[in-house]
Amino acid sequence: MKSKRLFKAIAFACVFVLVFNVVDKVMKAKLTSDTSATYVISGMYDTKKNSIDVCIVGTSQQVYGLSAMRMLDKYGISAYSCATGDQPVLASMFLIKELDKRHDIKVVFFDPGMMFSEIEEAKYRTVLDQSKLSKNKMDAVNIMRKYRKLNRWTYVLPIMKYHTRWGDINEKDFRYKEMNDKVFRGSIMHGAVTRVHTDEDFQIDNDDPDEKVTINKEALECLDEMVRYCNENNITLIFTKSPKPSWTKAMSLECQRYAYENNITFLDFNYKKLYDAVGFDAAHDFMNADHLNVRGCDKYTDYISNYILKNYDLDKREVDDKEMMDTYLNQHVQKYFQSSIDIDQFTQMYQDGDYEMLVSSSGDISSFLDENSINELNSIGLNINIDKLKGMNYVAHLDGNELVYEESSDSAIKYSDKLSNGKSFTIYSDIKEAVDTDPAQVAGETIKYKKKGMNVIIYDKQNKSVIDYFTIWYDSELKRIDIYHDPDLLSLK
Amino acid sequence: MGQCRQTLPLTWEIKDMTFVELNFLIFIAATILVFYICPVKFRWLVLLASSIAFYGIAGIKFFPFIFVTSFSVFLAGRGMGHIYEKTENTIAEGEFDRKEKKALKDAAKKKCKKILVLLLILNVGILAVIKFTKFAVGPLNSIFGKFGVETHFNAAWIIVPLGISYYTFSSLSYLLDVYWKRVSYEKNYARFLLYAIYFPHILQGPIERYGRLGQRLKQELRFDYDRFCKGMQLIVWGFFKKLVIADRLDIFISGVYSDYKHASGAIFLVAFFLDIVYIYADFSGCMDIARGVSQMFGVELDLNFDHPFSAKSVTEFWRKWHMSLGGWFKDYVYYPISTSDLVKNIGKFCKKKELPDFLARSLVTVIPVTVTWVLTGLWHGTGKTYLAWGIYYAFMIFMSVTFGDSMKALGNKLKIKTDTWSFGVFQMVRTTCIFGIGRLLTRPGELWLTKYAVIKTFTNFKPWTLFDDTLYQFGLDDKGFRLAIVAVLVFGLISILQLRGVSIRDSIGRQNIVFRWAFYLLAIFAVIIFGIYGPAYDAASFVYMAY
Amino acid sequence: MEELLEALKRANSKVDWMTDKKLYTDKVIDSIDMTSILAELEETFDIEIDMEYIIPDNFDSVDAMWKMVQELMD
Repeated sequence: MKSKRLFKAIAFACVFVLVFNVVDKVMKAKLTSDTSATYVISGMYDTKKNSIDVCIVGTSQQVYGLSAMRMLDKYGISAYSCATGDQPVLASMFLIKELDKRHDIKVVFFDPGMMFSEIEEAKYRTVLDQSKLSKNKMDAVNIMRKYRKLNRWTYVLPIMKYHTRWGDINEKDFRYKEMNDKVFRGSIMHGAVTRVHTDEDFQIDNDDPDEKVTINKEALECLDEMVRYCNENNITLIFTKSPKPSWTKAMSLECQRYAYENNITFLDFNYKKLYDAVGFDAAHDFMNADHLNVRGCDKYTDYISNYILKNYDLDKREVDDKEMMDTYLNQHVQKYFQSSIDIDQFTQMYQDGDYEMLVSSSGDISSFLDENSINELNSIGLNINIDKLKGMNYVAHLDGNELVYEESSDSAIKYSDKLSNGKSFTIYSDIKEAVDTDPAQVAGETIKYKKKGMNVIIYDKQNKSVIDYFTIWYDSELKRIDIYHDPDLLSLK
Repeated sequence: MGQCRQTLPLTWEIKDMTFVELNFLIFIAATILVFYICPVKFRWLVLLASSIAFYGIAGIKFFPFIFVTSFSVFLAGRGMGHIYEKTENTIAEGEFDRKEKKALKDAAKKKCKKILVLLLILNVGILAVIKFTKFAVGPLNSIFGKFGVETHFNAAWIIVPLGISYYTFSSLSYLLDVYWKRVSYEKNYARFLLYAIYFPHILQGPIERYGRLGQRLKQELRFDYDRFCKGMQLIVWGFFKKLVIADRLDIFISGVYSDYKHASGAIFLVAFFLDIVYIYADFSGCMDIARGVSQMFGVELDLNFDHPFSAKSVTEFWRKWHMSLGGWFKDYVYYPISTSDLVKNIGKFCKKKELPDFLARSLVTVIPVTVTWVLTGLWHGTGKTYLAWGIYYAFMIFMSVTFGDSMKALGNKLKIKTDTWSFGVFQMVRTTCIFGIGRLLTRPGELWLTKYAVIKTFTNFKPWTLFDDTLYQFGLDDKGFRLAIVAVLVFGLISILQLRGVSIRDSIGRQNIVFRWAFYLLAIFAVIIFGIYGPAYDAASFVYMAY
Repeated sequence: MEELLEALKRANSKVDWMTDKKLYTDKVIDSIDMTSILAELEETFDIEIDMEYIIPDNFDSVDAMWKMVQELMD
């Protein structure tokens, strides 16, 4: 009787712990944007033991700047990125230890961008709350307590804080187990292109180190601890700073000082020599003022990967998760399409794959297309004759390089037909309409355009879906022929 | 945050050991572990040690107070006990007639009375000084100010020992019970201290008598699986009432009274009713936690609530609400005054003048009722609001005593049936409203605010404000408010079931294991998810800025 | 005994003094009734009922009250 009761009590306790774990995971905040640290951190615990050699850690510059998947795919280097937005140095230190617990990390690339700042508790929590309870975690919390008032228990039991979210729970929270398919080994690709800066804006060679910067006390303690830990565990710690306008000369010098005193290699890509060595291009490689897009990321990753291969003797690793790699590669292509701003960038992408293309104009395309552009477009199979298109509506259908259909007319055109795989589509061209013509329908998808110009839809024959759509137009602000992508398409959902 | 509010003025000093801190739960778990590991004989010592530890964690500086009170009362009890014993022995050994016996007994009583009075002055004095100096700090500063002397007396300087109202009253009840020979004196100070400082009931009561709790603590405290589980369930229910209902309603009600300019009459009315639910959920929730914890040790604490809103009259209400306090005042204030010479003389006077029944009754009860209720009001808190509260209830009860019979007669004349369920409901609603009005005197915090709220309810009702979003402007958003209402309905349903004799714990206990466990897990997680505790999650700081 | 009943009826004519319920414990008589009862008993039997006698055992039934009265008269 007694043992039966004891058994029941223990069983109940076990059920309780199980349910508690589920509730805990559901209640924890999933960050509202798609660069969810949730998946980055929890994905870290899903990695196969002893499969990672390189740790990428630090701020969001690392998240978008270094691609762990590319390192594996092209160079056989197995890396994982634990970087998150505004990641405090304390969190970076913690993550290095956590990752090293699971794997035998050889090299760490750390972006020291946050070492001068005071950071709000939420940024610590994005990392700590998603992490498992461990000695490392409590040590980190204890360091935090030295510098601010906090309730330790809410770090041991995050549910104490997150249970107040009960009113905001939505479907996404219940699907916490599904890996966000846009996060690959912690890295994220982005297809936007911004042109707010010039190369010179990033380079600090000639800047005045006029301001006084001091390393934040807590950051300093954690940097020292990071250095100590890496030394003790035979990990090579490297500081890397990708181009960022708000990274000043003074900051760089102070960081150099610290690195020098602690025997750490510091690669600062805000200097012309390294900036050019990578081949960064301010007009093509950045998705916003601070972060690299997929093209810039690839360049940067290539540089760092070659650096690793030259300086360190790591095992060549095989792809372990083929499905993830395939998804990554597909998305990579898509992001390259999305980040094309020059016609020749897009045509190169088009030639590299197996696609169909649908073209329709919403506005007089003869008014801005120049000789170069037309040559480029015709090189992939179109047959544009600018004189014949003055004031005319225009549609075209390319299957690979074969021109399936082309029509120009002075009255509105509605063109319905089937793709090579039998799926139907309808596209419209009407020069007289306001910005958007009727939305195109392709293989069940509706596509609305936001600019007047030459509207293009690229259909991926392999994956049987629309991989990209855009408008070639004349951007009067940038004063050039540009490719315009719908911002909604570019934001990660 | 998680404070059991009922005697707020005296409990706000508690920082670290309120019921709803995680520390408290860990403390309980540790104590239970040690308790059941210990052999049965010494388990009461574990309770004593943990109660002392609990008290120490709350504030070491409080110790002198509780030791002074408990030790002085213990010594006094022993002293009186000895005197009575000696007298009994003398009477038993010798041959005395009735008169002589009475003389001996009276002499003993007189000696004991001296001890009693001394102790009463000492301990009630300590209590009164602490309560009133806290209250007097402000006025003192202004009085000194008028004389050009700048004083900065600070209320926070005054130490208010944890549970002083409760342990003082418990100790005094022991003292009086020994004096009136209702209980034999305790020979072991450790036992007595345990009774005084026993941690489950020191924060919020109930005020236990030595003859009950004292004896229960002396029994063999053996492990009983069912009782242990029931105790845990009671704790969960208590937390539900406290964290999900009470603390949530409190946000709204406090919001209404602090943002009173934006509250319409209808909103004040909603706050009026929710406040009644709030105080009941808060107080009975804390009581359930205390009782549940104590149950896990095998020590039953007296019920403090018995479905008070089913009471049909004010007097009946106070036999069902905060029963231990009402009982204490009845036994130790009301009856002694009723049987005092002054009141007896009034009675004789009425008889002589052959005054009508109702007038005689009212004259005889006016002093005991007024004194009892004013003191009850002041026990809850110092200040005009609590004095007004005491006088209010004295008046209501006085009215009921004087005119109760006449009202019944009038009802009969008007052929109003008093045994129908609808009339019963009317009586319950009436009683609840009377209680609510009493709350209205103390809840807003200032009498002028009470007046403001009442006037606005009648002049500025604006019923439409109940149907637009105004309700959600006082601290609780729409989801929070609706959750509160749902929780209140659950509470109401369970109360009604209990009134009909259903024991929820037993009923669930009889179901199949899957249902039982699902129910328990649901209850526990309802508290974890919907409870008001911990630092709030701040959505704004979590929006990730990627760009 | 008769005298006691009459005294009780004088104190409160509406209570059913011979009920099976416990008068004090089951709250058939309340604290306000007790005031008049005590006054009436003291008057009728020339006794002094001190606080020590105001316990449930003494007031739960008419028989118990009678026993107490007799004890006090000794």
